[in-house]
Amino acid sequence: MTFLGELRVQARQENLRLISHFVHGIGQRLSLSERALFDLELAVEEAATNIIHHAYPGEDKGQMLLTAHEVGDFVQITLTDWGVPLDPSRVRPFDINAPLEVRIKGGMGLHFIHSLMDAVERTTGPGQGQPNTLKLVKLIERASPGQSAMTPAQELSAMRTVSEVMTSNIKLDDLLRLILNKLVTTINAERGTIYLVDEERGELWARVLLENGEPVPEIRLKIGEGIAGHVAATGQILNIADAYADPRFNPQFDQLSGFRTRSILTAPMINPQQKVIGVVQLLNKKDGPFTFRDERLLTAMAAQAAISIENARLYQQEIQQQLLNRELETAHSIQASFLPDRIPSHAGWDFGAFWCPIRSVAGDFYDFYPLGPGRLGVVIADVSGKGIPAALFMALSVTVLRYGMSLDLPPDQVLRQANEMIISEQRSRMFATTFVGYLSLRSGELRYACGGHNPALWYHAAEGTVDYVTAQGVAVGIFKGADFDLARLRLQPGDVFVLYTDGITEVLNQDEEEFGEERLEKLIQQHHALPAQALAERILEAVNTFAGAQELFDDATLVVIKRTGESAGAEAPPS
Amino acid sequence: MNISEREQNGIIIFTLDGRVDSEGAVDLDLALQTAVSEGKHKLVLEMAQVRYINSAGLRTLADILTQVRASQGDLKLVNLHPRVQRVFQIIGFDRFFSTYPTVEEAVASFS
Repeated sequence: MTFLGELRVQARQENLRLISHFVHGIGQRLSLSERALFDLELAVEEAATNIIHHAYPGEDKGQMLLTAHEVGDFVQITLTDWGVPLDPSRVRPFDINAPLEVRIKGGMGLHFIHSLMDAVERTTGPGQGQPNTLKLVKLIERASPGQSAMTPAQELSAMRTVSEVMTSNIKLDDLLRLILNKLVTTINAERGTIYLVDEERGELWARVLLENGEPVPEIRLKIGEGIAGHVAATGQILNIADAYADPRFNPQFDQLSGFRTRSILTAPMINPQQKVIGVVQLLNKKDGPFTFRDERLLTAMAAQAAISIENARLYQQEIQQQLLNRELETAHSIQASFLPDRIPSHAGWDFGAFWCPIRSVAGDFYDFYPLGPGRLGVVIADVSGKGIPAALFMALSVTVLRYGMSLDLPPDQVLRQANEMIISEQRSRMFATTFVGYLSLRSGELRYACGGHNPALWYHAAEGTVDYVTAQGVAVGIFKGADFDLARLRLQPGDVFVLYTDGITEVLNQDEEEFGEERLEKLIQQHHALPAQALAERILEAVNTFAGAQELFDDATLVVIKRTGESAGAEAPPS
Repeated sequence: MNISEREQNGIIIFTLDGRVDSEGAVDLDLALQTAVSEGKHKLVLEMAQVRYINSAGLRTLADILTQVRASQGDLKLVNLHPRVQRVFQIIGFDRFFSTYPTVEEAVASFS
């Protein structure tokens, strides 16, 4: 019994292509006739399809393993899965005389398998998770003599297989194994290795090594060192008829593996940009030395392989990116759900806000928290850092701040409690600059506390001036036992109060100039008459125009509070 | 798989090029279902360039055949490769599908 190869893949529809290529590789290795190869391919594909649909019926697909052996005059392909075992009582015998509608319901695959194979053997595991195997055995019918050496047409077809794989979406490891299998069988060598260039370390590393199909532990070489390293450095193919006579040959691997290297053919894998991305090395041509034709063929196939490998890498990156994007989308909607559902509306008041994460998620947030009749909590905060860590910290901060507000603690105590909770709850040393204000909708009084947040801008309608409003306190989450001042002010009709994060004021333009508070101040003075939301959007627009083509670096959040009129009881004493 | 189509006297002639495997079957199903949904029930498949077909492909063909026959139409196959022909025989489909050596003969058989 001779081992021919194995393939381990996820039991997914899109891997059927890979499985077909694997069977083709085996077929070529055994010089199977077209007909025998067709039968084998169909039976294996049907068996694999059954595993995909029936052994792993849900979305959660497990693995399947295909192993190929030559046993006497037969080729034997065993498919192993770890899913639901086939229940023989549920298999309807396929009735070749049934009407068409009945027939297409199922059992067609099994019928093919049994009709096309010379023997079929099934073992089932005692339960789910145990291996189930299906052994397919087919008499080796070889292609007519003279066809064992590859004709130019076959060479072309081998090339096409490699380039076809190139367009299919498969895992890099599977692809490398497939390519190597193809190269070893096409050129009739005993073994092969694919080395990939690790640019950062100036090294080559063996990604796959076929020793009767079995991968062996990782090998690393310096570029320029040994035969593979030499080829990687020069980009030239190297055909060595007697390895032990070549000073570049390192016999260490032979000593370790007990393998005796005779001849070596080593070709660079050069991508279309003429960069060497790796090296493919074949050992011991089975009938004599590697020929000039082998050199030509390997050069061409190595170039195809370079493209395939780059595509697979790109594809993997893309998949990872897609997964990440999907997670970020989810994170974005979770995070957005922490923000107030809608902007509050109260007679005599007008509110506006925007929240612009620079990535899908942000460390900024704002909050409107109803404190009871006639009172509203207003929060803006900017968490240190960006992206997911900031977003997680934001979730914690929102929760502790809301908790404090729900107890109706005064704003300074809300910050104090949040500070203590955050310091005791998290060890990641993140912090948030925070402004918390309690607004009396009747009197216009705002009681507030500020933990290191940018000063708010307060437009006084009567004077047409702008004040910078802040209170003593450091960012929340830094110092245990930190104190915060409580301050108060009173908004008059026509006044506008703007809270913002530094994503607004620290935006840079092409000349590396900051947007700054003054520009914001002027905008507010100029547009104070606009409705609150329109003013917020006007500011956002101005910031974007200012940044121009410059990339924005920080999340930007802004809240506008505008007292529009004499609301009921405006002269009432402060609450 | 590449599928091209043309119309002749209300008969749609599809020329298939490639493998009618699980992936190809999806393409084929889409092309044929589109025609059927547009009320075309007389279909001819030119299959000289199809060297591989599996049960997914056969299921698609059988499904379409059932549909078009229910509407007094038919699905006729032209120029089956011997290996594909054999698959049809193994599964007993050769008795359901009419096959022709040329497109002209398949088209003529509709009148």
